[in-house]
Formats: sequence, structure tokens, C-alpha cells
Amino acid sequence: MRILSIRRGFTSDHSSTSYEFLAVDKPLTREAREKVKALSRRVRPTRRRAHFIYHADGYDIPGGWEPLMCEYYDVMYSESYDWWTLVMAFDAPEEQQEEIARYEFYGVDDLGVRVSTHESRVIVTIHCRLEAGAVGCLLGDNYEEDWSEEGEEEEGNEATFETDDALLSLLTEIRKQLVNRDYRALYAVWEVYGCETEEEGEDEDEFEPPPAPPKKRAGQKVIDQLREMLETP
Amino acid sequence: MPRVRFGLSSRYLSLSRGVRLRRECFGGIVFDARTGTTLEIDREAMALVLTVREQGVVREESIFAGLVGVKSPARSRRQCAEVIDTLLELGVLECPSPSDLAMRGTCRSANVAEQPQSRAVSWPARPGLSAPETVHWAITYRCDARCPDCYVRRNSRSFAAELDTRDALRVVDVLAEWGVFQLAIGGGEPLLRRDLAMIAEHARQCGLAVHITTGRHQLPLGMLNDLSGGVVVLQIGIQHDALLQNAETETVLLSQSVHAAEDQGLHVGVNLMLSNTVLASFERLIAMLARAGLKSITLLRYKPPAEPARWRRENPSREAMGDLEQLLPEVGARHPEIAFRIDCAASFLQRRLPPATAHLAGIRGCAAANRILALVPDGSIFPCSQLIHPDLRAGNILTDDPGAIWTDSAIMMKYRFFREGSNFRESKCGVCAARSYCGGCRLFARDAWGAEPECPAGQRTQGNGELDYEDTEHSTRLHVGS
Repeated sequence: MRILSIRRGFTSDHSSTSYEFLAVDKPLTREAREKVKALSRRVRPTRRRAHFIYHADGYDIPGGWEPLMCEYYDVMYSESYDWWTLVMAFDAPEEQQEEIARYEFYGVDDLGVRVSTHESRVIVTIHCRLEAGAVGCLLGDNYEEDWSEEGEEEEGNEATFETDDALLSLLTEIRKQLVNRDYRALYAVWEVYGCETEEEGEDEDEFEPPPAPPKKRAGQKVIDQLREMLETP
Repeated sequence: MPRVRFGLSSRYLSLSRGVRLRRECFGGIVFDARTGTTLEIDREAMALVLTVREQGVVREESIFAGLVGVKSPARSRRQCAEVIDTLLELGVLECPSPSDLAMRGTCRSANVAEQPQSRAVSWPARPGLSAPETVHWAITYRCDARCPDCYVRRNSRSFAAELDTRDALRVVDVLAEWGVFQLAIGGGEPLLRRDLAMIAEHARQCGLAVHITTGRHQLPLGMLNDLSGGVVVLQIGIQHDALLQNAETETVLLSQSVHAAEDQGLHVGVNLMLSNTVLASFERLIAMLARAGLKSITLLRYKPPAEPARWRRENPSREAMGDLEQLLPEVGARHPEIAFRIDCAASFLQRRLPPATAHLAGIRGCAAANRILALVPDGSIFPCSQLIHPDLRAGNILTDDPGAIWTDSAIMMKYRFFREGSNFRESKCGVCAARSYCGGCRLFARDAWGAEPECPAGQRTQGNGELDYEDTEHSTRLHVGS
């Protein structure tokens, strides 16, 4: 039983909200999957991934996505009306949490970086718009394959899990850098969305720009890829 | 009396008012006349929705309980739950409140709903839709404007005799009975018909969602008030020359019309013709339309107007369409409040969508004699409003059986299944990955059935890469025997 197509009519509500979650460090237990599953009858969590979609305004994950990032998942992206939320979560000591918090900023159109902490868990959120071409190239057309339950038990418990979703892969790489105290990705976001805010508000605000991370060749491809994806305001 | 409990585990479902259903060979179409949202669903999902409609109120759990004898009960239940949730979100189904249930006298309904009657559903055998979803009706060819890009003047000498009010109302009855969901009334200038509001109101009472397309930027409040009884969508054909020349005045006029129409409960959109003049000022025009408060813009491919010289000057080249293809995502992102829709004649602008995405969004390319059917002022039937020619006339809505024309007419069949013809299959479009959701426009294909010459991905058709006026004339004249 399925819906073959949904064509929007003449109301202006013409989009939907979707979420893609990935557990990088450790797969979800059966019990954890049951808890995720209880949030929506349409979600089919595998040991590593979960996909939520809501077709109309006013519908969303009960309790929001943040608890899922605290408990089960390590990276997530969400798209709603062409606004993107890219999220990475990991455990970090207090000292590192303070380091990361320095990269938090609200830029043009509230695009920017938010950092929240929940005990040892840090959740880094990038609010952005993505270049349409970049999104098309990144997002595959393999949803059904990704979500077939057959074979999910074949996934291992290894922490080096790789996904074939290019955007989740990119976020996984960025997360790896953040865990290793490499904040170039967050600085790149500030360069796109934050500089203008800084110039506008320099006389009236005590906004301090985030520290420029040291340049290095290793991992630069990931940063370049992120920067190319971000739509300039 | 059963105890009625509410909550995810035990809720009652009913079909929302304004939702219409039509069985098709693949399952069925669900049309929400309040929002215009159209779903295609498979047979199992359609059987579910039909059951809810027939029973009035159904307990959800009883639907799951009815999934007996299926190969994989757990999977079937999960799929069924997913479909129900999506239908609830989209407003197709609703959960009646306790007071609703009481009002429906649901002590009895709830009893019935505990064990909904299941009965065999028969499905249309023929492939393709059993009726068009939308009928485009050029209700008059009269017009008090002289828009240079108007394509109607190309055809206005033929079939111009208008139906009187009585026959126009009969047309509405025929369409409603046939199962058509939407009636898009255009012209000429439809507002010149004094009986338009009456016809629209009758159509609405018959369950049709009525759209009116006008070429006027300025719409008097009294007229909008009259139309609001029947019309759901008011579509304004943008006169881009006027908008560009008198930007401030025209934007204010448009803004006033948009807000006045919205105050009357109408959904308002505009049609923007993709001529060279428009493309040269595309971003500026979109910004003006955004300022006027528009939230829906339909981008229409430039069709051959009456004057060949105008066509040669204004028809965008393949390269210009390629530039637009690059620009559209950027403009769309800049105006997230606006829903951009693309005329099926320009489906190639969406050819890069992943197939699954395109299909799920219901994009199917050419809709001629498939989702749409065109009527002209005298009631003659054509596959599409661009294919108006004596050789392509399939019959008359009042004197012939529209259902028979739809299913049996060679003209309709040829356009509906054009992708199956060897001319198409062997063309560049026929081997394109987007062939199932694009396929090009038949008006522009040089031999009517082959490749779309102006697709940015296509090869040059002439030395200068442009399509000539005579080519489209030729395509229009080609009839099924050719």
C-alpha cells in the first residue's frame, strides 16, 4: 500500500520538512530503535539511520530533533522550505565545549552556527541555505535502497561506518574534524554568513569574531566542499 | 455501546469534506478541492480511502484488523499506518472529535466502524486516466486587450462561436459527471462574459475547483466579490511590457488586485510568459511580483503568437533556456515565499530532478489528452490548448460522448501515448533519462512526435539553434494520420 505521488495544489504551502539521521559511533540497539520508531509510524529506523518526513505545516518530530542527537545519532541534516539545518553531535570535555562555543554566531537571516551542550554532549548546528546544484549532486536517489530492511543486520558495529548519502558523509567528516579540535568548517560558515553582521554591528555590539583556526592542507577538501555548498546571501 | 477512545492507538477516521476520489487502473486519484492537492495512490490505498468514505467513520484499528490473509501482515500494517498518517497530515483524512462523532450520531457509526464492511472494488482496465483531471476551457475568444504575445489570436478565427449560458452550464454538468476535478476558464478575456460568476458558482456547486485566468492587472472589488462565490484560484496573465515600462504603477495595481482578491478568499497566482524580453529582466520582474505580494508564479513557455516576426524576436533560444535553468534555483532560493510552477511545455527545466523525486512530486511532463483536455468557445474538444486546429478536433463536449472521445479517439490516444511511438522512442528525448517526466512539448517537436528541439540538453535543430515559426505551425497541422 502506498502513495504514488503528491502534487501540491494552489495553496502556498508547497514544501515539506524532512530529516536524515545517522549514528556514526555506534549503531542503535533494538530497544533504541523502538523508541525512535515510537515517534512516528512512518519512520523505519535501521541500526544506523532514520528518516522522518512531514508533509504539512504544524507537523514535526514530537519533542524535536535535539533529544535524538543527544541520545542516539551523531549527524543529521534537515531541510524545510529550502532552509537547511546541518547538525553534528559528540562528547567533549568542558574545555573543548568552551572552545567550540566561541564559533557560535547569528548571521544574515539568522543563518549561522549554534552550539548547545547537554552534560558532556555538544551539539553543533549550522543553519544555512545550500546551493541548489550542490544539493542535487550531493543527495542521491537511493532512498529505497538505503531503507530496505533486508541486510540491515549485516551492518557491523564498527565505528568507521560509512554511508552512501553524500551529505551525511560530508557531515561525518566535519564532525571528525570537530572532535579533533579542528574548527575550520565552523569558521568557513562564519566567513559566508557572519562577516557582514560583524561589519554592521561593530560599533554597537561587542561581538567578537570566532578565532581563525590554523590553516592546514589535511582535510581542506572537506572545508572547500562545505564552502562551495553554502549559498552566499 | 462501544467506548470511544481517542489517541494514536485507537482513533477514528473520516474523509474530509471537499475531498473527491476517482478510481483509476493503478488505484485512484484523491483530489482536495480546498487546497488543490492531488494524490495518486495505489489500489490498496484507494480501497482504504473508499472504505472510509463509504463507512463515514472508521476506527483505525479495525482497518489494521482487516489486513488478514496478506503475505506480510507486519509490513502491510506498517505501510497502511504510513499511508494513513500522510493522508491525515495532508488533510485528506481527519480524526473526528467527540463532538463531531456525537453530531454524526456516531454511537451507531462507531459500532459499524468497529468492523468496516469490506467489499470487492473494481478497477478501470484501461491504462491512462479515465477522465482528465483538469479541463482548460477558452470560454470566449473575445478580448479587449491587444497583447502582442497572445497565442489565442492564432486560433481565434476558428471555433469562436460562444456557447450561451444554458449550454455553458450544461458543459459544467457534463464535466462534473465525468469526474473532472478542476475547471480552468480562460480566453480571450473570460471576464468579458457577464455570466462568468454564475457559471463558476455552478461549477463549484458541482464539486469542481474553478480557476479563472485573466489578462487584467486591475480588478474591481465588485467583480472579485461576484467571482468569489465560485472561483477558487484567480490567475493573472502578466503583461510584462506594461510591468517593465510602468514598474511602480503596475506593481501597485497588481498588489491592490492581489490583496483585494485574497480578502475575498481567492488564491491568486500569475502566469509569466518566458519571452526574450521577460528573460532579459527575469530577476527584476520576479522581484516586482514578490513586492506585489504574489506567492505563486507559473512560468509559461513562450508559445507562437499571431505575428511570426514577434515569435522570431521573442522566442528564447536553447541557450537562453539553458541560462534560465541555471538562474531558476537561485531566484527560487531568493524568494522562498513564492511557489514557482513550470508549464508542462517547459518540463525540460526539471529534467535534472532524480526520477524518484519527479515521480513522487507528480511531475509527468506533457499532460495533453492525459491530465488535461482543452475546450474552445464552441465546445469543441482538443488534446491541449496549444493544439487547436481543425485536424485535431476530437469532438464536441455537448454533442458527443466525452468519455468515448477520451478513451477511443485516435487523436487523444496519439497524444496520450506519444512516448510509445517510434518517432519519439528513437529521438533524443526518447533515450533521455527524464523521458517519463518530461518528453518535451508536442507543439514544438518538429514532426509533432519526435524530440523537443529547445531543450538545453538537446542538439541544435537549425544553424542558429532556434526553432522557426513554421515548425510549430507544421506540428499543429499534423494530425494523427501523418
